[in-house]
Amino acid sequence: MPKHQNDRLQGTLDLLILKVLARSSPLHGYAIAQRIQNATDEYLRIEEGSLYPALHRMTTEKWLEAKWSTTETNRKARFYSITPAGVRQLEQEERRWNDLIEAVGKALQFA
Amino acid sequence: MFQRISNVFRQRRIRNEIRQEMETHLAMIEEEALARGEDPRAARRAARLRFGNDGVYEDRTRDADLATWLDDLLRDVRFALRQLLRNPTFAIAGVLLLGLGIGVNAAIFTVIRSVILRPLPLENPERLVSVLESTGRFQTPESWPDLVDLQEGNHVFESAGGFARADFVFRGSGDALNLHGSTATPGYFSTLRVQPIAGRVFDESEAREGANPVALIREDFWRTALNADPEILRKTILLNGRATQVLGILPAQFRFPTSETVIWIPLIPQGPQKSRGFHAFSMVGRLKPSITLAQAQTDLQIIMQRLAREYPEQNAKRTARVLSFQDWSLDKRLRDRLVVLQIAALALFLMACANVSSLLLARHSARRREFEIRLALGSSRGRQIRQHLAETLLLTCAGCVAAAGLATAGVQFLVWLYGNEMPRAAEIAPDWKLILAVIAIALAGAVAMGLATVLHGRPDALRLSGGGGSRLSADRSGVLTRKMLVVFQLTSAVVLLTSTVSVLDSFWRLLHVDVGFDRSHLITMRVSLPAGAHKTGVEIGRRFESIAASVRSVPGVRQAAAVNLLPVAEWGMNGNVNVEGMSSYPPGFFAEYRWVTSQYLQTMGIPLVRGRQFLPEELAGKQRAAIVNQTMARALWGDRDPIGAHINMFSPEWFTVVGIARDIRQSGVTVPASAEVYMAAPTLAIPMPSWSILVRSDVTAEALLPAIRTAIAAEEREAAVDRVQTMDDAIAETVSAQRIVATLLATFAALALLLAGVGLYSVLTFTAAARLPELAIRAALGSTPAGLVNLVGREGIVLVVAGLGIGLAAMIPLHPLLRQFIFDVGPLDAPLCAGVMTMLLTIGAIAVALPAWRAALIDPLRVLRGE
Repeated sequence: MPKHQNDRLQGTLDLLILKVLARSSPLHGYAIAQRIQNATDEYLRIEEGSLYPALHRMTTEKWLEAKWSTTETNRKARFYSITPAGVRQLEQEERRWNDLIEAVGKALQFA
Repeated sequence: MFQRISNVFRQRRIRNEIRQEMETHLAMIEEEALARGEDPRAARRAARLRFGNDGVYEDRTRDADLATWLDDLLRDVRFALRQLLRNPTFAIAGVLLLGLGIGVNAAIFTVIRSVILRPLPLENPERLVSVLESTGRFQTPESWPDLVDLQEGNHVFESAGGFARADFVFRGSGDALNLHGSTATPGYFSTLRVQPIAGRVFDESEAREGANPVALIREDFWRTALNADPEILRKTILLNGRATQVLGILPAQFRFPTSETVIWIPLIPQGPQKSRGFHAFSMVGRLKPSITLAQAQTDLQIIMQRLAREYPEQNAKRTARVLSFQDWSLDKRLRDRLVVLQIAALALFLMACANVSSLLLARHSARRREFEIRLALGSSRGRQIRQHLAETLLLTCAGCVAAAGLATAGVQFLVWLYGNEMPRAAEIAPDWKLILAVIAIALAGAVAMGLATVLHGRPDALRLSGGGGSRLSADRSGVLTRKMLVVFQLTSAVVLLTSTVSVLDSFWRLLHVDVGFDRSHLITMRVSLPAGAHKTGVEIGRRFESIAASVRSVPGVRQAAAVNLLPVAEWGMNGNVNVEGMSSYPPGFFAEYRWVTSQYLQTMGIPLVRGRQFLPEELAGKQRAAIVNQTMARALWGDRDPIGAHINMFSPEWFTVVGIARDIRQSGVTVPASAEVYMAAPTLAIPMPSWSILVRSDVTAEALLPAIRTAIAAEEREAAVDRVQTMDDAIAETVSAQRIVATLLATFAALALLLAGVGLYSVLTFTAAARLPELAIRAALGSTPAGLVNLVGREGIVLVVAGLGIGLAAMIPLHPLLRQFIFDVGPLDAPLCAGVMTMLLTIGAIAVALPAWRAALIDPLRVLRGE
C-alpha cells in the first residue's frame, strides 16, 4: 500500500482537528475526518488509526469534550466539541504552523 | 499523576469506547459506499486497513500509564535477573568487586568514625581539655607541684583534676590478677562529670595520706570478676594485698584514661612523687563556657612561665600545651595511619568501580546487536536505558548486600586484630546508619555508572539494515574508554603497591632496627607483687633481686635479671639530674630512670663502655651507685670523665657514677636513645610493684615457664605473672600501629594487583574476541601464531607501559605526602621501585599473554564459517 500524503503531516493532525471543531461542533469522528478531507479537496486523508487515539488524547488533555449521542441516522456516536483550553491550544498551534510555513518559505527562496 | 492512575482503571473502558467509535465509523463508511452504489464490504476492508493494527495504538498510549510503567519495571527487573543468571561469571565478578570495594570502605570508615570522629561519651566533651608540659623535644605529664599550681592558678577551667595510670594486683577467688587502673584526684570525676551507677566517688578526705584505702570499680569488672555482688558497697576487695573498700561503681562505658581502666583509687603522691622534677601526672580540665582552647593555652602558659622563673632548675624551657581531651586520648599517628588506610580503601573502591564499568561496557558491546534489533522492532530508547539501569542496580544491590556482610565481618576482624592498640575499640560497632549511607552513595554511583555505559555507545537501528559488513570489522566502541579504565587501574595499582612496599620496607626495618642490645633468645614476663605487702621501694627492690636470683637457678636459664620498666616497650619515668659542683648544667635536662637487679646489663647484652658493674654492696642498697648511658655522659660531662661524679635525682642522696653503658633505644624503636641512668633495685624511689623479669635461654618460653613460675611462687606466693613473651614480640608490639597499616595496606595492595590484572585481562580478551574475524583472515592469509601473539600482545603492552609510567610519575609528588602521614617511611628508592615494576610487569605479562595466546590458536576456517 502506497504511503499516504498525510504521513508528512504528522503532528498537524491536532491542529486540523482543533480547527474543524472550532468552526463547527459538536462533531463525531467520522464527520471530523470528512470535513478535513473536503476542506483540503481530498488532498489530505485522515487515517482512522490515528484519528481516534488523537481524539482521546486531546480529550485527556482537556482540549476537547466528548459526549455519547445519536446521529441523524440513529447511530450511537461520540460527539466532540472544543473547550476554551482547546481554543488556546489551537491559537498556539496555528502560530507555530505559520512560523514553520514562513521559515520553510524563506528557506526555499534562498536555498 | 492522577491522570495516570485514573487511566489505570479507565483503560479498559477507553479501549471499548474506541472500538465502539471505530465500529460506528466503519458503519458510516459502509452506508456512504452503499449510497454511492459501491461495494460496502470493500470499502470497509479499505478502511480497516487504514485503521491499522490495534496493537500499534495500544503501544503508543502505553507509556503514559502507571500500571504499565510498574509492569515494565517488574519485567525489567525480572529480565535483568535472568540476564545476570544466564551469565553467572559476570554477575559474580560484579557482585564481588562491588562488595569488596564498598565493604572495605564501610569497615574502615566505621572504625574511623568510632575511634576518631565520634565525640567521647561524656557530657559536653568538646569542653574537656588535656594539659601537657613540653620541653621542646618531648611532651611530658605534669609533676605534682606543677599540677597543683596549674589547677589553682588558672582562670579558664570550671574544674580540673589529675590522674596517673596504675596497675593493681587483685586477688579474688582464683589466681592473682593484674588489673589496669588509674589513680585520680576527686576533681577528675567532677571534671569528666561521671555519675556512679551505685555508691559515690571519692571526696577530699579520702584523697589524703593515711586515709583508709578506697576504690571505684567499673561496672563490667563488677559483673564479671565480682559476680555482680549486690552487697559489694558494704564489702572490701583485696587490692595489692590490702583490704580496700569499694566506694562506688562507675558505668561500663566510662573508660578513662584508657579502655582497660577498671579500677580507680585516690591519687596520693608519695615521697619523690611530690618533687617538682618528677613528671608522672596527667591533667584534665573542663573549660568554662565561652573559653577557647587558645585562651586556655595562653592562660596556662603564663603560669608555666612564672614557674620557669621560680624553679629554673626543674622548669626552665618547660611550656604548657593544651589540647582537646579527645585528641589527647587518640594517638595522632594512629589517626594519620587510619586516614592513609581510608585513602587506600577509596583507591581500591575506584579500581573496583573501574573494573565493573569495564565489565558493563564489554557486556553492552556484546549485546549491541540485540539492542539494535529491539530498537528496530519498535522498542523505545527509554525502555532500553531503563532496562540497563535495572541490571546495574540489581548488580549493585547484590554488591551492597555482600558489602554489608563484609563490612560487619571486617569491623569485627579489625577489632579482634587490633582492639588492644586502638583506644575506644570497645565502642566500635557496625553502624547501620553509616552502612546505609555508604550503600546510598554506592547506588548513586551505580546509576551514574549504568547511565554512562548506556549513553556511551548508542545502538542504532539503521546500522542493522545498512551496515552489512559490520560483523567483520570489529566493534570498537567502548574500547577506548575501557583502555583508559585499565590504564587508571594500573596507575592506581602502582601507587598503592609502591606506597605499600615503602611502608612494609620501613616496618621491616623497624622490626629489625639495632636496638642496642641482644634481643635474641630473650624472654620477658611481667611480675606484679601485691603492693601492700611491700610498702617501700627498698623492700620491693630486694624482693625482685631475690626473685631474679631464684629464676636464675632454674635449669635452662642462662641469665636472668629484673628491671622496673621494660626497655623499648615501657618508659616515661624520668626527671632531672643534678650533678654535684656542676655550674654549667644544661637547662631542662632530664633522664630516664631505670632500676635494675644484678646482671641486668649482662642479661640484656648491653656492654659497658667504661667503668664497672654494680658491686654487691651497691646491689644490696648499702651504697648508692649509678651507671649512666653514653648520651647522658656526653650531655652532662662532654669530654670529661663522669666516673666518680656525684649525682642526685629525686632525693637529696648522692649517687656515685661507676660506669657508662652503651646507648640502647629504650623509649621505642623509632626514638633515638635519650639520657638514661641505671640504679640498683633497692634504691627504688617509689613503690612500683610491677617489674619485668628478663630471661636469656636457649629453651622456649613455654618449656621454661612452669619451672619459672614455681621459682617465683617460692619467693613470693602472691605474685601475678603475665605478659610472657619473647623480647622480639615485645618490640613488635610497640610498633603495632605500624603493623595495622602494614598488614592492611599489604592486603589492599594484593587486591589492587589482582584487580589491575583482571581488568587488563578482561579488556584484552574482549578486544581479541572482537577482532577475531580480522585475526582469522590474517591467519588464513598466512600470518603465523607468533605474529598474532605479537599483534594482540602489543596492544596490552602499550597499556601496561602507560599505566606503569603514569603511576611512577604520580609517586614522585605522592610519596612525600605519604611520608608526612607515616613518618618512618624512607625516601623513594630505585631498587624498591624496580621491584614493584617487576611485580606489575609480571602480572601484566600474564594478563596479556593469555588472551594473546588464545588468539594465536584460532582456527581461521571455523571463525570465518561461523559468519
